[in-house]
Amino acid sequence: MTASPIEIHDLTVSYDQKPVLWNIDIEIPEGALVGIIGPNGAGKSTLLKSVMGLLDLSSGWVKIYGEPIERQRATVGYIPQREEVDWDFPITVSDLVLMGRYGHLGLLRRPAAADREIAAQALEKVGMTAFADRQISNLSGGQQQRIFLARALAQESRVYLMDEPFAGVDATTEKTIVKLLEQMRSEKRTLLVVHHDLQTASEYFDHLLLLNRRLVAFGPTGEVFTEDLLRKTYGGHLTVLSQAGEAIRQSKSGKK
Amino acid sequence: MTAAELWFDWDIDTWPLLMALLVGMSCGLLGAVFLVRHTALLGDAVSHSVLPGIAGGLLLAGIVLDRNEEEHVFGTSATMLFILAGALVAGLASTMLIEALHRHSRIKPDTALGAVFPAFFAIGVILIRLAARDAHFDQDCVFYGSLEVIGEFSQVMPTLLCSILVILFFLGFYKEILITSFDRQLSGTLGLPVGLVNLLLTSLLVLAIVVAFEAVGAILVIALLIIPAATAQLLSYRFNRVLILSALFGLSAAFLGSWMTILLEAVNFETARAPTVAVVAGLQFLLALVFSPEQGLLAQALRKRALESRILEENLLGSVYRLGGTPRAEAVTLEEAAARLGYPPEKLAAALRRCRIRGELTVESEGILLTEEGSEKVGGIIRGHRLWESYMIHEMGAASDHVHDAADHIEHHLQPALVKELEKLLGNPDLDPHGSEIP
Repeated sequence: MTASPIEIHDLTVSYDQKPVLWNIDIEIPEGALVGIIGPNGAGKSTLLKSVMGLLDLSSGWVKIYGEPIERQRATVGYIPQREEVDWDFPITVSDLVLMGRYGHLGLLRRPAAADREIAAQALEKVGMTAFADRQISNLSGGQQQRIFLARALAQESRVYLMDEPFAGVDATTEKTIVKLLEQMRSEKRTLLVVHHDLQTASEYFDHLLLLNRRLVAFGPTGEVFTEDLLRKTYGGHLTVLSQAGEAIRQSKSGKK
Repeated sequence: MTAAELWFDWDIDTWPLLMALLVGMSCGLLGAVFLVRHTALLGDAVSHSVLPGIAGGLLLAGIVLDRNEEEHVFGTSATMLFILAGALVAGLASTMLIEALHRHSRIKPDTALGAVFPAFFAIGVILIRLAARDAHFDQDCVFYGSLEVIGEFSQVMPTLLCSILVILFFLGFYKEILITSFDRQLSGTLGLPVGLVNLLLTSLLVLAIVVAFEAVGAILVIALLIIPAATAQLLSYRFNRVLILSALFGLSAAFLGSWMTILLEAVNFETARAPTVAVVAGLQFLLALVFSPEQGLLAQALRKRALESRILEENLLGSVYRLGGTPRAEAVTLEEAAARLGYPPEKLAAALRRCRIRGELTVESEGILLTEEGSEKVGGIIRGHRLWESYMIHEMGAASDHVHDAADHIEHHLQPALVKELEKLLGNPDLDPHGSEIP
């Protein structure tokens, strides 16, 4: 049996000693298009960052095709939220997309013509070719999101983690992203997408991961997109988990 | 002294100039990276924090080495090695302390920076006093530098080596510098050595500051780290060009500043080289601030004026349209058109002239008339205006007597794509909410 693209085992992640994700245990099947949904503060971005190895884990582990992320960097592409970079940075659209190729180049190596070609094709796929020479601050939010996607495409990864790609985008961009997701799924890539719009969640994704500090449910959309599970995800204030987390933080940090 | 030597004396002026050029270039390159990372003031912190290292190195050298070899401010090259090592340790220690303080406590980065470097600097000042007590050591030089004391190649050597390292680093690690500056998280997920790049960058910054000390001092080195980079950023939107421009501005400030000092000296006006270099860097920045083709204040003012002129023209056309109707209907006088807009007629005179030149309006004996082109253009504007009014009433729930002013404002800014969107949304209406036809 081949290893799953993403296997998360008993994952607990804390900020400032306070657990924000509790005992997550999932195995994502190959080629799944997974929407991660849950209320604000549910730990959706934290889950993605943990998989990418950007955070220290309090417990548990993550494996990519049976190996730790450090050995599978080229396999996984990550699209952070748009706000996480400085859009006034002096760089053009095409140079930003070209960064997606950096992981494939060794130290001291410069991007070759082939890398530029791949970057140009990625830009084409998101319909931003006409903007290649623009400075990135002169773009709308949707356009910024699309070049982030293009950069990820240029990475040519088998697994993608996307943090709110649909947040604050225009209708054209939304359509472009949906089309891209479909295409990537048809190429058997595995996709984990943080999503906040319940109305479209069941339409865009074939699997859903319902998250609120803990894993509420994971499975094919038809099975888990139920009123009962959604209420479990969004309703209730999880007072027990919040209080427990706060108690751990206070006792560990020695603060009162 | 011959006339030529007044302009440039090869024996005296060569080494200070070379020193200034090397410092200008390496500070320009490094400064640009810290500027785009929004950590420009780290150079400030480091340049102050290396002081205890310099003093410590000097004291240690005094103990270990034979004092009689002292020749100039920083002594022999052996002393210089002690100073460099001490400064490197102090500089790196301060940056690590700043990083550790804000990572492991609730102290914000700016506070950490502001707390660490004065502490290091203060210790440095005390140590410098100690060092100066038993060595002929020019304290002012530490703060303000003195390019004039550079008299031989051996004094330029450390700076030359540092500049070569800086250039090699930028050539070899360009893509890593770019990606770690722009998107630290992506760099991490791609498995790039973020920590190593940052450590090398900080070490080179410390090194560049230390070797620049004798020449420009702790305070003026900031000018060379920040100003050429800020100038470059006003002129380009590309990282590689910002780097190259910043290095060039560092070089040109060093050259012009040094040369200006020599020229002023020739007319018996004594200045110092390092401050003159900093002043030239500042002047370059002011020029770029005013004249940069895209981001300059002048370009901004011109764009604003062009927009104001266009709005006046469009208002004039709209006024003639609304008073007189489509082509060759009724002539309108300038006074009538202006009165409708609430302007004095003189305000529209220039707009009228420009519209006539473009063939949008003609002036005949009975008054102003719209030409075919004029009415086509004004039709588009009025269409945008009335579509916007409809949009405000139907989609935003505004009252019909509250929408005109808003539409008056927005009609000058509606792009064709947005007009299309409005048409689609409103189902291509023929009449506006007041019952007027939408052209």
